[in-house]
Order: sequence, then C-alpha cells, then structure tokens
Amino acid sequence: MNQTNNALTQPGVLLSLLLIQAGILIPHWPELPSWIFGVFLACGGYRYSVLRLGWPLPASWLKLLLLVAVIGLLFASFGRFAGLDVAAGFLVLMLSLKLLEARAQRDAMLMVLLCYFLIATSFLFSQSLWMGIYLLLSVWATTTVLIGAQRSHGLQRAWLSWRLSGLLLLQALPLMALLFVLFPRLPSPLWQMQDPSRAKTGLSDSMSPEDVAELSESSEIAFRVDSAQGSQQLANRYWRALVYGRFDGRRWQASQLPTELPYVLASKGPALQYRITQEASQQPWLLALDWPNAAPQHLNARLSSEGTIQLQNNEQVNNRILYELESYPAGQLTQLSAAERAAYLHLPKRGNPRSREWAQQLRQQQPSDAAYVQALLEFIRQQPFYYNLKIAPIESEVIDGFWFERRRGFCAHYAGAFTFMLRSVGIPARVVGGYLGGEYNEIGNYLIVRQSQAHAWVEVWLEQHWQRIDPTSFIDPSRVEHQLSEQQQQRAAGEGQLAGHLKLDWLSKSQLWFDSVNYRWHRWILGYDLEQQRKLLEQLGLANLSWNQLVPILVLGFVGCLAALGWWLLPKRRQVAPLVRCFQQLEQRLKPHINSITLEQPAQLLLLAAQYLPNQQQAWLELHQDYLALRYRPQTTPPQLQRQVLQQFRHLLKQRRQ
Amino acid sequence: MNLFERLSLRIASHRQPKPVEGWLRIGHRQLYIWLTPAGGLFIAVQLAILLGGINYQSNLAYLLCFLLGCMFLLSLFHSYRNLLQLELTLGHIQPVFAGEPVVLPLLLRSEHPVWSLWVDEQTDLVDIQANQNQVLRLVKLGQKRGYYQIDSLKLHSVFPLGLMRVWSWQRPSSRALIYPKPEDPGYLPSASFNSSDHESELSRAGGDPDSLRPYQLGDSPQRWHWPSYARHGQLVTREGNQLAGEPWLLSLNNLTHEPLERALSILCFWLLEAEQRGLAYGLQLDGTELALAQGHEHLHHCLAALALYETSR
Repeated sequence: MNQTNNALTQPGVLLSLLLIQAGILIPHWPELPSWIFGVFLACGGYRYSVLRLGWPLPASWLKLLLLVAVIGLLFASFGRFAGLDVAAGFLVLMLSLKLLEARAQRDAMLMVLLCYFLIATSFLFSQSLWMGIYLLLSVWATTTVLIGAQRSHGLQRAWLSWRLSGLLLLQALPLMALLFVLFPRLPSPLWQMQDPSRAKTGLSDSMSPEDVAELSESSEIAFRVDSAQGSQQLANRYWRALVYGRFDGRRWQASQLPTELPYVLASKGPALQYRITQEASQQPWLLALDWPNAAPQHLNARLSSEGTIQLQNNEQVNNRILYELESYPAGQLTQLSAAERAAYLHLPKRGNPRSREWAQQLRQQQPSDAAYVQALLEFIRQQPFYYNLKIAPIESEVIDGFWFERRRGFCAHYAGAFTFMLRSVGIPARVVGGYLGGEYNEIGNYLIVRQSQAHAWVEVWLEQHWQRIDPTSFIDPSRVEHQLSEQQQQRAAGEGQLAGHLKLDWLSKSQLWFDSVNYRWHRWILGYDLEQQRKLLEQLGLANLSWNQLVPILVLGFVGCLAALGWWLLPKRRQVAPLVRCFQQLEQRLKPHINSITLEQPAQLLLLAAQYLPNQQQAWLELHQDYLALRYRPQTTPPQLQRQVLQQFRHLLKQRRQ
Repeated sequence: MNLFERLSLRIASHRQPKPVEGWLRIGHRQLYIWLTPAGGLFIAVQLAILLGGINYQSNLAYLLCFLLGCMFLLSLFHSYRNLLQLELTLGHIQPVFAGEPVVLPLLLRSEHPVWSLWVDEQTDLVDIQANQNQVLRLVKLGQKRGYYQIDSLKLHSVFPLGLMRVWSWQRPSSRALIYPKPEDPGYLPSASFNSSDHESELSRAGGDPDSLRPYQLGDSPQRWHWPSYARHGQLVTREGNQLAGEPWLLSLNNLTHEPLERALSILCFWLLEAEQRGLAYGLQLDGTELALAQGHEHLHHCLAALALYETSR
C-alpha cells in the first residue's frame, strides 16, 4: 500500500518548479558568481531530460564527487566560508544538486520548501519596493506549484492551482499585516554579524581628496530626511557626519578626543525636528543638522563633544535605520577645553613651510582673528582659484602645492588648506565632513541626499564659539570648470551659492513619484522597528505596554481574526426548510408513541399527531387540511397560506411543551 | 497509522460502534487534522526566516514569515472544507463465496468539488465533481460466511498544500452476503435424501414424451431433448416443469457426521451442482425449509440461508 502522489511524474510540475526556481534566483544574480547559475541550469536541464528523454539519474559516487567539487569551487570563488553571500551561494548549489536526486514526492516537497527559503535570502541583498512586489509574486508562484504537487492531475489545469494560491494569499494578507504591526521587535539584533561581503560606503574616517572625488561620482542615496515642520526648509543645509581633527601632512583623520568631554549647547533658540532614514554604510556615523540636542535613544549611539553622533561598541550602520533628531540651528557650542584646543591647533612639525609663513604674515597684517578669516576668504575669491572635481593628487606639500600653484580643487582641498592656514596662526579649527544640500522631492515631501553631495567644510573657534565657514562657496562662480558631468554640476550646484534648478519634465517627475513611493515603503514597511511600533501603539492607545501585556493582545487579536476568517470560509450547516424542520420535530415528539414511523407522505404525520396528541386534536386535523391544500392545490390557495401553516405548526409544537 | 490516526480511530469507533445505514455525511465531529512531515519542515523554514529577520532586522523577512504562517493556518480551513459534507454509501454488493474478493462499490457525492482524496487503501487520488455521484470499487477479501461487515474506512487528503492531513473514519453498512466456500465431498446426495412424495421414476428415463414440443427460439439448452434429436434430427424441447432428474432435497440433518462449516460447504457445493444439472432442489435447515424449485433466485435464497445459518447448532 503506497499512498503517495509522486508529483515529479505529474504533468507540468517539474517544469514549473524549475522555472520558478530560476525566477527566484534572478535577484541573486548580482551577488553571486555566474558559475553557480551555470550549475543550476545544468542540473535543471539534466533532471528535465531524465523526465522527458529517460536519461538515468546519476549514481551516488558521481553525486558525491559533484558535491565536493562545488564546495571547492565555492571556496575558491569567495576565498572564505563566512558571509551571507557564501551562505546564499551554498544554498543555491544544494538546491541544484538536489534536483539530480529528486525522485519521490518527498524530494519535490523539500525543493519547494527550499524555494521559500531562497526567497528570503534575496532580502539580505536588497529590500527595495521591487523586492516587496517580487516577494508576493514568487510566494504566489511557489504556492501554486505546491498545490499542483498535491493534485492528481498535476498542473494540467494550472489556472485552478493559480486561483487557489492567489485566494490563500489574499486571505492571508490582512492577518499578515496584523502580525507585522503587533509582533514585538527587539531593540537590537540577537547577535552582531560583521558581514565581510558588504563594502563600506560613504565618508570614511580618513579624508583625502581622492576619496571625496570618488564619492562625487556616486548617485547612491546616503539618506532621506523629512520634517513635520515642513521638509522644504531642510534644503540647502549642512549635515554633519564626522569631524576630521587630525592632519598628518597628507590626510585628515577623524579626531580621537577623550569621551568624557562634555557637549555644551547654549542659546538654543527655535528647535527643528526631523526624521532621517539612513542607508546602510557599514560605518558608525549618524547624521545631524547643526546643532543636535541629543543622540537617538533607541540606538546605541552617543553625541560627542564635537556635535557628531556615532554608534558605540563597534557597531555599524549595517542596515537601513530610522531615527528622529532635534536640532537648534541658532544654537552655539561655547565650550572649548584645553584638550580640545590642543587637538585643534595641532599640525605636523614639518611640511608646507611656505603656507605657514604666508599665513603668519597675513595674520600680522590683520587686526583680529575674524578679520584674518575674512582676508583668507577674500584671497580665495580674488585669486584664480578654480573648482574642479577631476584633480590629480599632489605628491608632497599638499597645502603649498594647492594654495600657491595648482589652485584647482574641490571642497576637500579648500577645507583642508583653510584649516591649515587657521591652525598655523593659532586659531583652533577643524574640518567637518558631511553632506550639503540634497534633492527635494515635492511629491513625497522629503529630501533625498546622495553620496555625491558629500562635502567638507571648516569650523573655526571665533568669538568664543564654533562657527561654520565654507571656503568652497567663496570661489568665484565663473571659475567653475565646465567639464563637469551633469551629476558633478548638480553637486557643484549644491555647494554654496551655485544653486541650480532641476527641470521637472515628465521623466524626472515619474522618477520622483517612484522615489516617494519607495520612501513611504522604506519608512513604513522597512523602517518599522521598535521606535515606530511604539509610536503606532501610542496612537492606538496601547502605549507603554511591556511584552507581557502585548503578547496576549497579539495572540488574542490574531486568533480572533483567524476565527472570523475560518467562520467565513467553512460551509454552514445545510439550511433546512422551516417546514421540514417542523416535521422533524414532530417526528421526535411522536417517537415515544410509535416505534418506527415509515410514512409515504409527511401529511400522515399530522394525522398521527392528531391521534396521539389528543389535546389539540382538532387543531392538528385542521392543520392537516391546510397542509394538503398548500401542497396539492397551490393555485387555489391564498399566498399567505404557507406562512399561516408554518406559524400554526410552530404554535402547536410549542404548546405541547407546556 | 501514526499515533494520531490510531487515537482518532478509537474515538470514532467509540462514537459510532456500528456501521451506519444509508448515506453517511462527514461532519465537523468526524474530521481530524494534523501536520505531515512536510508541514513540520515548513514550520522549521518559517522559524529560520523569522530568526534571520530578527537578526538582520529585515522587515521583509518578517513579512515573508508571517505571510507563510498565515497561509499555512488558512490552508487548515481549506483542507477541512475539502472533506466536509462529503457523503458516502455502499451500493449493491454482489454476494461471493468465502475466500473470494468482495467488490464494494462505494458511492461518493458532494455539493462542492472534493480534490485529491484518498479512500481506504486505494493507490490513486480521487477527485469528485460537484453534485455528481462517483463510484469507487473497493476490493476486500471476504473470509467468513455471513454478512460482510466492513471495517472503518479512512478517507484522507493533504490538499491543498500538502502540509496538513485531514482524515475521517467512516463505516457504511453493507448487507453483503458471503456464502460458504463450496467443498466437494466426493459423493452425491443419496436417493434417501429425496422426499417420498415425489415422482422420481418419471424423471429417470429422461422425460415424458407427452410433454415434448417443437423447439422455439429461446428455449434453454437444458430443456432440449437430446434423444429425439439423435433419432429424428429435429430439436425438441421438454415442456413445463418437467424435471431432468431426481430432485434433491438437501438437509443439514443428513450431514451430522461432518463439522458444521464443512457440512455447510458441502451443501453449498451440492446446491451449485444441482443447479448446474438442472435438477430441482430444496433445502432443509433447522427451522428453515426451502421448497423444491429451480433457477437463480432459488439458488440465491438457498445459499443465503446457508450463509446466514447460525453458528450455534
């Protein structure tokens, strides 16, 4: 007795399974080496030939050999065993090899379940809106194959399976949404995984002009920001990420100040609240407008004395994160400790002698520090300084070479040189790395800031507080070199007063619309974390619930919805006609009197009732007559006779009970 | 059968110890449901996806896990609904002799289509169209004489996702008779068996010439008078209830030297032999007497009497 339905021999099932597996593998294409897909195609093709052309399944030794071979190739391709991409590649290879030994229903089911798992692995690489749509479609397709594998005719009448699968999906969606909203979120991952497969993006902890130039090419999104007070006012602002406080003669590095130094923000003024959705960068910095109030609470972050926010404990922004901040644009940082002063005045002992000398001379000519700063800026404006993103690196004496000879560069050069000039004369100054400007998406009402908007500017300690100076914005506008690409022009346009204006034709409009849908997607689906959940629960009136209280609510709500759906889905008891039910009750009533009732007509039951229930004998006889009239002379009976008969019948039945 | 199926069989037998006449309807209380091994693996995959979602903070993984989970739970209802309100009964069953396979025609009908159903030990899936009777032929071995009582039939299905199995135990009533297995004792019933008030001499010679008539189309070959044909070359048939030989009156009392079952088997064999020879025969059991007659119906009456003869003497 072998009661299994071997799906692999049913029409269409194997081919559909192969096609769906191929479809699920497509999103993995950019992440995995191509030979893996070759293996899949070969195994799939072979297995299909086994079905159609009668080729034999490979022997055990051959399968073992293939297994060892692909594992070896996998290691050779990646050079390591750790990492998500290796794991995903391994899974795909196992799926392919499984095809070669699939012969029973058990194997078919295993492969379909692996498909579900493969769908999940694609999310590790991308979580855009397209991936959401892809999720739905691939689950629909995989479930269709699963249903087809249980049918006796396989996928011959495939639309039946498609329809049932779609129905299941639609019915599951509301429940899924409920679970998604209420399922408790952990504040941080269960364990930290440094994934070697992902590269760092964005500003790094050491700045050299070449690095920043590279960033200017990238149109990848760094972060999106919106504000309840109006996102338009967020445009053309400076977003600080980190401070480059140390110069080694060639590169500017992130400062390493003691962590106990306080952050003192005075004369705050109006506050600006905004939400940032930051992309994964594998770096620890978060972004903020000058001057932030505090670090976001739900992240393990710290606000340094420099006004930058960073994740602590070697954590990185490995996934997209969402956080809210409050800043005071009119505030001032008014404290400079001795340690900070020393740090922000430090220059290497040797190097760039001409710049130091020139700076000191210029300072002596000026009455004050502030005047000196102005003089420097005038120098940039009047002298032939050019803005150009394509610059060959200067070999040695980078400041001298830039300031006196080359005079061509972009923000990194200008900021670096400017800071050098200031430190040479004893004015504490630092280079700040971050982003400037951004693209306002008026359809979605938020700001998009890309990597190409990375910028470096200067902060100088003047008049007892830190002030921002952006030397790049003092370049004469006519001296922007014209071989800039559109992107570079945009970037140049974002810097200082060279604001350009995007022409909104239909193409870019639809791009904006799509990006706003994407943004909503990010904010509400992908950005839904502990913070969002807490807010949503507040709105629903379920604020401040601990897990102990939330979980029963979740379970009850879920079970309730499930029960409702179940009640809707399951067929009700067959509706019995009311008259028939009355007869059934009468039969029950007469059972004690008569052992077995075999009747040819139900009307006889009424006569029996008259016989055995003598209290209402007359009434029963009348009812009998009426019933006969209803039954056999429907043309001559008034239309409400049926209702009367029914009422009378019920009445008589009730009476007996009393 | 796994643990759950055994348990459910006990519960079902407890609720319905005897077979039920007429159409049986699978209702809510008769359906049981549990995971298949594939279902267990499915849950493991879901948990793995959930863990991945928690750890990599991937909300899409959460969505996938919940979607799969909800679909799984909803398929529970679909599976249930598949078998609910399915009606079955056993049709007319041809009697057979003990030891021969009994063919039980199982009629199935349902108001909604039923997909991928397994009935009892059949190896093929059954799909039932809505409002159409479907007949399945179950073949069982009939061992004992008497009424054949069917064991509980298991109807089960893993539709739609193959992750859960829904099953029901049903016991339709069958009034199928199993006749005793005929055994050849090696001897025929002796003349003393015959009842005294029968004209045996008439039958011996081969027929009364007065009762012959010309052959008509449709006359049974048993009634053709061969001697006439051999003599004259013309086919004639014997008329009326002229019997070909001595009628046999078979009685259990004449077989007291045999054990009961063997006696019944011998009687069965003689009945068949008598019918084949065209003899009249009658049967006498304790309390039951079947008068001399011939024909299929009479044969079945006699065999039925044999089959239903009480086991206690």
